[in-house]
Amino acid sequence: MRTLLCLLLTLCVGAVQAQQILLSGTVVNDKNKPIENVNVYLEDSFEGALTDAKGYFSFIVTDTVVSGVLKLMHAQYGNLDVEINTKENYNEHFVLSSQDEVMGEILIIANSKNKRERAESIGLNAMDVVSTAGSPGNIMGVLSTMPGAQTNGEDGRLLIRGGRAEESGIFVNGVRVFQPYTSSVGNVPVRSKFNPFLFKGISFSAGGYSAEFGDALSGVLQLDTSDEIDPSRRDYSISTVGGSFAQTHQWGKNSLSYSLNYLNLGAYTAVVKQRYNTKKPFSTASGEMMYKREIKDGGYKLYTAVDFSTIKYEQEIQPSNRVDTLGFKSSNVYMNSVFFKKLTPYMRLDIGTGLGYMDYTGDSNDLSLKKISWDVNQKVKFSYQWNGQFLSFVGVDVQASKLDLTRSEGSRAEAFGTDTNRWALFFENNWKITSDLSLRAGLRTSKYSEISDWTVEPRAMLTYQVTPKHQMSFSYGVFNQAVNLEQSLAVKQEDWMQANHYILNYTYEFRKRLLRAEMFYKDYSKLLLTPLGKPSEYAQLGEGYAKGFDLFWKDNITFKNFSYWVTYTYIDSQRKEMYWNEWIQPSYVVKHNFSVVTKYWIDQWKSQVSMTYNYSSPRHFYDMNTTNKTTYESSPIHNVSMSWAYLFSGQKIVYLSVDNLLGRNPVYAYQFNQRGGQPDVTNASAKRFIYVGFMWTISADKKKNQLENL
Amino acid sequence: MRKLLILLFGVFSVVSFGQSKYEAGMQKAMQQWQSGQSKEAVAMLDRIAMSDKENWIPVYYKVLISITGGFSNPQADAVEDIVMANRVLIDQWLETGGSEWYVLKGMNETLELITDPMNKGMVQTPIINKAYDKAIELDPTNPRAVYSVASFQINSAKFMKVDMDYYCKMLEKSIELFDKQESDVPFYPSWGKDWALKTQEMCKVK
Repeated sequence: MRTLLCLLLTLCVGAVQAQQILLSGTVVNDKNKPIENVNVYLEDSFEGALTDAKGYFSFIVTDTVVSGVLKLMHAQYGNLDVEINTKENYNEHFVLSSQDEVMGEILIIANSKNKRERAESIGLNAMDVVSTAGSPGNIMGVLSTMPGAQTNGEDGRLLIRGGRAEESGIFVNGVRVFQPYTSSVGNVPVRSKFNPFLFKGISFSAGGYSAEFGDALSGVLQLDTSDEIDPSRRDYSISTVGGSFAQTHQWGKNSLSYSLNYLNLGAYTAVVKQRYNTKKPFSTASGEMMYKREIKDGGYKLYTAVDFSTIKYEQEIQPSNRVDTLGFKSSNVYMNSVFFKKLTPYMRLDIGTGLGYMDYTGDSNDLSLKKISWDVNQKVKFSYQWNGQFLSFVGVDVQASKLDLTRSEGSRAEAFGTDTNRWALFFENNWKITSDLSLRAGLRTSKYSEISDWTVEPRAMLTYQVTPKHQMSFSYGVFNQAVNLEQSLAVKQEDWMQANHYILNYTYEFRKRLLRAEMFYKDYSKLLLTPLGKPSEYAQLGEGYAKGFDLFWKDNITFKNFSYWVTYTYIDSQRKEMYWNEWIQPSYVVKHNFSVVTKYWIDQWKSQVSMTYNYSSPRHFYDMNTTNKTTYESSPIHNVSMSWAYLFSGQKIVYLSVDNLLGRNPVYAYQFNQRGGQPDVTNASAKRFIYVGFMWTISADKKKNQLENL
Repeated sequence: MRKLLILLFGVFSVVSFGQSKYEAGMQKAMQQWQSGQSKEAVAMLDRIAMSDKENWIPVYYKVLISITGGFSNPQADAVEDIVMANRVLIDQWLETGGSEWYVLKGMNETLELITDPMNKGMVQTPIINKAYDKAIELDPTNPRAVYSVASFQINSAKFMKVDMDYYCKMLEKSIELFDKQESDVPFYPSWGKDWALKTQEMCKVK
């Protein structure tokens, strides 16, 4: 106590003798704008202050003299040391220059979403996929609720802004996926083959995409696996249509995951009546393997997937009462290997390899189609961070494909085969011109073995950050695509099909609510067109356009435990393509597409309930066999789906999902008969699809033993 | 959970006179934090960290202050940036700081989780568990590590079924450890007992 008293006394005496010196000043940047939150202090005593919004700071030092170093510290502007020696009040004006000149180290984790990339694509994660009602676990299901994207009921593939399904490119870790969908025959809609949990990020671009990608006229979907190695765990799941087992094993800097899945619709279709007559139920046996290794400043990831699927069924087609016997058998192998490493702090190397094999036999009545295809894609990319403003990358993309096709009808068989190569070089710069303005400009040039000309594709995007919340961007690009291998058997292709994209984007983000509006215009040229009266020939005289806008609103915060998004896409598209040497709206295009996705967490029930509503306006189908060119309209589609996930415990989940809750029965499409007359209609195979599943995860860390060891 | 975390810690037990410059600075920072001037406290800790680059304690408190600040308002715009910035610091100090820094890592990842529990729960939970498990493995007597595991599980009861009896026992164990903790290092982390006692109320309810 006595010490305390002494000390207090000494302090007071000191205070009387010392004088109060006011240190103050303002801090601005080189554009004379005030800098907030600069940490200004005396090195010796830590006494100091932070600058306010006007860049002003002041603090009082009680001493006879202030001498030493005055330090100014700021995260973006760096540090400044100033010698100070004063007995009187001190006021000074400081200028801190931006540290952008300093070399920024290249990001080893590619595709980390920063605010600048918002305009370019929409990011999704695995939870977005599995918790969206409508298409459990199918990546295409959630994508169909995104602006500019569409899937059709009888097809299931991803269509981007009035483009055909073949015009959408799908990439895993930057490497092309050759068979992204499950196999199909007739009007069985396909699903995405990939387990969404494999991917850390799913990024969808509806056009105007980077020069790194090519051979996709309409848009790209990028799926990226996470770079980090996975912790050990084991998962079991069982559902009304099958079961799966997965295990992850981690040792040192490696992790190996594998999963085995078996799916069989036999039991389900026996209970729930379908519109077709099952001969051999749809079944898929598949396996996936993922190996990851961390190396110094980089990593290696190898993904392999194998699947075998089969189905055989009979379907009566209305109104012609024709009975079709359909079936397929298909085996697929896909491998994707990625190596990445930081060679220097500013240079990154990415090497990606994709390998695909497919053996497919599809039977439609007497006609049998056998396809065997091989595809290899090799990509090498160097990225270099010149300084804080400039990042460049350059790369080579090579793809080789081979297809053997046998078409047999009864005892007659015809065999076709082809193999092709394509090469591409790409180069792109990302330039941060000022702190609010950035430009991505790139060039891609490709050569295809079947076409003599090289393509030259400039791509650019200019982004302007109006305020931290508002952003605008404009992108432009030229995109080329060759016809797919199967078509190329029938077509001698002379030139690339081509599209120009013009996209204007506005993004407004505040407090975790996102509004995104986009206007687009695309023109297509050199599309395939069948000359009149020569149904087996093609000429590249087709053309087309697609224009429109889309709106996307996402809000996770306004309502407690409730998140939702709303999407509307308007497309006005017409093409002169295939059999139609006149401007028509292609039959795959939906003019108005509207979706509402909601997810609600209910505390008391420990459940997440999700509901999705989707509206598509009628599509147009044209009968080419009659002279009067009748147009048929498919039904407008109103689909409400619901899912319910109940968390038994952290590791056990019960899942229930119902697709098409209202039990509506829309006409998806029409098929025209060569004899003429009323076209046949295509509907869903059943009114509703109900899925019940149970998932159980066992982590490696054994909780139960912990307490005893403490 | 939020309310709990707003509670202040008993870190002000070290009061000594004839302090070094370091101690005076740290003490000032703690006082500023306690009186709600988090921004000023962080500025002070930044200054101390600048002058003593080998010492993890000022950075530890800087991260702790930003995490607890985030817990009190997880929906704020800046929270995701805070989590990112903390990750960089945590990765730098994880090796040298040991158990206490793994606790911070778990807390920082918990902050990321509570910005959007519905969507981030599944990804974050194993990361958080792993960090806390490592903290216990490195120092089984670290009361904050034991408390954090128990608290994370007990607070998860809102979302799923949890073995409350087991984790409540663990919480009791952490309180015993809090009473035993001692350190010669000035300003060595000692917070947490108040939180543990507060969390214990949830055990009584169930």
